[in-house]
Amino acid sequence: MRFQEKIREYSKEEIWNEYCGFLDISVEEFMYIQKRLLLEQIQLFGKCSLGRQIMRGRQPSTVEEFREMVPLTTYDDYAPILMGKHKESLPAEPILWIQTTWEGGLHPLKVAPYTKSMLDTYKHNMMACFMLATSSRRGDFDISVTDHMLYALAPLPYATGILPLLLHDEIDIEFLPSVKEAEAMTFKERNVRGFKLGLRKGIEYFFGLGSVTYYVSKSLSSMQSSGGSLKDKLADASPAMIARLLRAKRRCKKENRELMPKDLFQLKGFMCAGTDNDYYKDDLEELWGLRPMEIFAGTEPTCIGTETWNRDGMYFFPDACFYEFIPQEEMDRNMEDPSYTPRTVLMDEVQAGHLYEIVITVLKGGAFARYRVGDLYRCMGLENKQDQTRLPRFAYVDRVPSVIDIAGFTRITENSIAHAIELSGLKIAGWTAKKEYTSNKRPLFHLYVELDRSALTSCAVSEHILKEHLSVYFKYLDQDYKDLKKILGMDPLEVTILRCGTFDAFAQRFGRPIRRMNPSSQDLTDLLRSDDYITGRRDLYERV
Amino acid sequence: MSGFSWISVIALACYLLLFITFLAASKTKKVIRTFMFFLFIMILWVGGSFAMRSQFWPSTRVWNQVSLAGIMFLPYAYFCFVIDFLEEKKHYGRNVWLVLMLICYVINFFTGIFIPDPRVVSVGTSVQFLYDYNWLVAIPLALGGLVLLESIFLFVRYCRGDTTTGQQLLPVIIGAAIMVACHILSAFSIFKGFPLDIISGVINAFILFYALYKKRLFRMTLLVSRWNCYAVALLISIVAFSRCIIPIQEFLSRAVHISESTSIIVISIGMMLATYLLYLAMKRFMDELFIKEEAMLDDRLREFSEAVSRTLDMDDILQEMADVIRRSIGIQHMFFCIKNDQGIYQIEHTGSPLDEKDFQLDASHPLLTYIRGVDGCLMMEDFRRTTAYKAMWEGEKRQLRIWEVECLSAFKAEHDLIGLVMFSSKPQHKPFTNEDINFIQSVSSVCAMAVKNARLYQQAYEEARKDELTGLINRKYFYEILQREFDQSGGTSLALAILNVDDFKLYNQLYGNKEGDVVLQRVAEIIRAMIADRGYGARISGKEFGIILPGYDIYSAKVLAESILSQVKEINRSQENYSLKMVTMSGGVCAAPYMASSPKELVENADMAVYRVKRTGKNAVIMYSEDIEKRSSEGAEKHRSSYNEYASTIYALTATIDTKDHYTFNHSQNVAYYASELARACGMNQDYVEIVKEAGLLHDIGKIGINEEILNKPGRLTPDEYEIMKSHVENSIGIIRYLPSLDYVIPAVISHHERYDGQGYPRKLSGEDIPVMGRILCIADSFDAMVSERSYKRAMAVDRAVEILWREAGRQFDPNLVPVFVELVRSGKLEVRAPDYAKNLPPAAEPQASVPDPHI
Repeated sequence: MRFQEKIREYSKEEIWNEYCGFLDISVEEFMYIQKRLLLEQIQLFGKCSLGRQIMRGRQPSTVEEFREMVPLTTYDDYAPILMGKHKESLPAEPILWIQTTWEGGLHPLKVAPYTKSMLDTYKHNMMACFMLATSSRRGDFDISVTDHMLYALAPLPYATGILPLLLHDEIDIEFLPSVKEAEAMTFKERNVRGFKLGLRKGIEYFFGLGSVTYYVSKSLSSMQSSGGSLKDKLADASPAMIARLLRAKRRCKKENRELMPKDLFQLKGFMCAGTDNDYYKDDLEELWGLRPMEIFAGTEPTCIGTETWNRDGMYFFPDACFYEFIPQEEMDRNMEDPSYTPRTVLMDEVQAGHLYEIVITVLKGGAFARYRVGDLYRCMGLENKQDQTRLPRFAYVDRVPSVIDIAGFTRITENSIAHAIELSGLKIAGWTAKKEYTSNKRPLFHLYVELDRSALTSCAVSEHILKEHLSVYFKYLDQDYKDLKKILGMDPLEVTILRCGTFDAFAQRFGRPIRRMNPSSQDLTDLLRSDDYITGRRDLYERV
Repeated sequence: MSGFSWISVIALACYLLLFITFLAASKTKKVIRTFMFFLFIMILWVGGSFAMRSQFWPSTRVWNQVSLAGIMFLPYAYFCFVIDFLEEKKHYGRNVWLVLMLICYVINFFTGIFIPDPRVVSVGTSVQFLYDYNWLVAIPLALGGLVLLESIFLFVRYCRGDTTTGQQLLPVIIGAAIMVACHILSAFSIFKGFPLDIISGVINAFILFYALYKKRLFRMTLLVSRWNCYAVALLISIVAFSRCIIPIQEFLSRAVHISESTSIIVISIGMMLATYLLYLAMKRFMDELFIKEEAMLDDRLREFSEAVSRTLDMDDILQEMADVIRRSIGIQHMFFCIKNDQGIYQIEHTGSPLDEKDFQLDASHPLLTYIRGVDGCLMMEDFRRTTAYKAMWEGEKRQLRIWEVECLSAFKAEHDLIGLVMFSSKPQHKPFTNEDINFIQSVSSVCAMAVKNARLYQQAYEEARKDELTGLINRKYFYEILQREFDQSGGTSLALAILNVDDFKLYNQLYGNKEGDVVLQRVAEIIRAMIADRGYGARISGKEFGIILPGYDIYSAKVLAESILSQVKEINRSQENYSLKMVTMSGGVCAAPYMASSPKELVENADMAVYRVKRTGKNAVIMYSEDIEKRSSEGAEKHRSSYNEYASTIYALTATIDTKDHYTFNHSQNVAYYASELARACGMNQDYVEIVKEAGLLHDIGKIGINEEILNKPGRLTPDEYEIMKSHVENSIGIIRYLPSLDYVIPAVISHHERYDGQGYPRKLSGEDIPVMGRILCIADSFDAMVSERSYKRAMAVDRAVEILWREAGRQFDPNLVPVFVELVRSGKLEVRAPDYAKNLPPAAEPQASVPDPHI
């Protein structure tokens, strides 16, 4: 039975319990579901060559044995089988292959198999997200078959393209523009068309990456400022919408502000995904009059968690993946010494306030076992009296320090930076990169470089030149990086040139080199302090 | 009664009958109450109209207002019915429309502004009612129209994309359409005077009644009774005869020429007969139409209850349930999971023998956990929508989908979930109705108790036929089966093998009864595994097993028995059992009809073969007949005492110790002597005495591995040295285990330093847990240690040693053996091998009043 039939057939309470009932279970019940499903997954792994390879030929019979026997994995462990799409080697037959970029452009696209059962679970959990996005309290939701969704995410074969497919399986909600139409459009065309249709039909839901939804929302305002274009678009608008627009314009004039989407549309549900959402949420709430609800999904893990009506921390779905968490101190130790195997804890062992790197085993025939996704979460609490939940809830923090993710678009690694520098031919003797935020809370990718002494006399080496130069190569190497500029108009790179010998001085002083990716704030301060005497830029301290 | 007024009377009668019928029935569902409200409104309309036209007391105005109330509230009653039928909760319209309608009616009641009272005009003998309407009549009409429009809106909303609701609503829609159509038609002159509106009202009432029945909102059996049918028949008869009585009377007086009084009698009789016939016809019609199906289900449930109460066979009970469900609901595939002894719910039975049974659920399975908390049936569709369903394996979900499981019913008995039945879909995937679910629940409840009883009976049945220790069938049942198989064997072969554990009494004495029981259980396991379902294994006496093998010839039976023997020999060959002796069995095989003509003869012959094996060296299987003689002559030659064979080995080993510690050599000889005498005095047989003697000789053999300085140290040992000295026990076992035929002395050797109070070593055994031979050795060992001279001490007086034995009885020594030993010493039957001075010393001359450790 489709969701839209359930709306008619069952009471709200029944539907809520079906989709959001997992919020009522205890952590013991959560773990029971997790462990039981993992046992099935272990059996499936035992029957396929990928599983046998990952489990090193052994067959664990318990969850504890599985955690002992199976090492933590990365995509490199799966690449030979997954990149060749060897179905026969997988735990279950995939019906979809979802792709994403792998370290920018350094590797080919990485792919992840999705089985029927995974998609069913994905669909079920997605509907839960959808309901929660429209809820303002427990048991309440507002979804109608006649609603419209503005969808600012990439189509298939990217993971974000699954959602329209899954939603259409459950409810005849209209996407603005339709999925088929959108596939043939550029990002900008999609937005323009989407808003045009929205003016005629209304927009009840909006879903996209936090950064993209912000960009799209702002573009509506810019339509207004461009004068004529909005009027053109209003040619198709409904009379009610025209009336609303006129009222809104009067109000905007009175309040001396730009037109905002909330003046025209009354959203029921607003969802966002990706990184850096915390930095966009306030603005988005201001623009739409509704705070976006964050969901947690990815190519490898599928949809694994959601916030609730309180928008105060997310809960993991018990049936999407088996979750393990690497405590921060273990993660740091592993970064210092890659040969060290970090210890993991389970959902019933996490502690409030602690930072964890997530490790997943995809259930329902998925391919990934004890896979390090590269995301950091902070446990916000083990229960929530306000939500009346008894499950640990988390906040997404960022990618792991070895990756710099800007606005959910690009995954810059040490390799990709080294590669860009090498290709650029710039004589850079030392560098370290850190993700920072501008004063208006936008992410930036800050590269601290030290030039080779010999280059100082033979090349023009201002910060501006270096930035321009490196940006070209980052865009050349990394399509995602290029999209940042193309889609969001962002150029996140900022370069600071340090005094020659700064990196050596740091190494001598502390007996170790500074970490190249996301060094700690203290380390960076120490690095800059020695450079400061030359450059005289004390203000930098404030930014790290 | 003129014109078509009789139609009004019939309509009124129908409404009244329906109303009274529902009045008597249960009104738990809101829609039933709304339907009664609808009937009440119809009664007001038709009844008021009829009374007005008939100009009944008190006045036409009153009846006109009653009729108007019916007409005006009819759309509202219909609207309420639609809301409740669709189970729309808290619909605002219910109150809004009611208030508006009431206002409209009250205004009209007092002012007649919308619909004025009719003018009564006499036309000949009849009267006519003329209404003088103005445009204001449009107001109540518009109000009614709006209410109906909202009803239509509700129809559309609920039917859109939902075929089930659409089907349920179809009769209601048809009823409304008929009413509207009839009201429109009545405006045409052709139907003038004919009460189409009233007829459509009756039709609509029955259609709504049908819609309620189709939605299973009431049970027909609760509504239709003999009295209802009789009342209807009577009513119809009265109406019919009230119209016909005068023409019939005229006809009778004119055509048959009978008097008026006679004709009245004839008509009365005719009316009674007609009423009765009508009653019969109606009852039959109702039975055929509605009740038959319900009554049939009740009958089947009763038959099922009777059938399962007649049997205690689980399969029969489950098959009965499968049959009754199949016949009544049409479900073909059912899977009965019954809890077994391990708490696993395994498919015991299926609706079709072709269905697979390889499916089981453990007690903590999410499905079982969930259904424990559910009363009645669980629809798979509902279970799929629970959080518990998330914990189901995809493989399990897939399996249930393949089986098309749609409904699940639990077998619960006294809060215990004893089973679960999974029902696949109905034919053509029709949905399960309330009747189906109620029926399944009833059948499941009956079945649960029957299954529970069957299990208890099965348990008792098995306990009565099974040997408790081994789980094989017992002696009594063995003979029953043997007789039965013999009777059924006809001309085919029936083999019998009897296997007897060799030296089992000795084994028990050596290792205790507990170890002996373990051996019997292991042997039973081997037998069970080897014969599988090809025969019957039984324990027919303490250490004897019988195997009935239908269809086996004697040779095949012998091969099977030999395979069992070879596996039995492996029982104690594992590393952890190195200290136990090898278990062997002797077997005899016989087969009917070749070598026996009765079960009794079969057993006797097999027994005889076993006896022969025992006599000729044990550990073999022979067939009854000439083999027995052959084996007898060969075996006698081979049989030799293991002691004789290994006597020289034992002597050699003890002599080795002598080279290191000459005290120990004599000590071993002495202990062997004392222990064997004690064993003999306890009434043990010669075999046992021999083993005790061998154990005595070998009990300190492990001292070979102890440093000579420690062995011969004059004075007390340090704690470390003592620990080293204690290790000689394990050393002894390590040596003896390599002498396969002497391994039976191991239990005695390993336990000769155990104390009766559990404070000894190495295993800290106590009481009877210490093998009796160990307890004997302990006394002999300690006694010799006390009365003999050592490098570090002089000999103790014999009387003093005896005194210590008495004192330590129940602490270090077995209190039952000490008196026997002391008696042997005191009576002089035991030759005390001690220095002469010790024999003559008075007890008091020895100040140390403790048992010296033989090694200190």
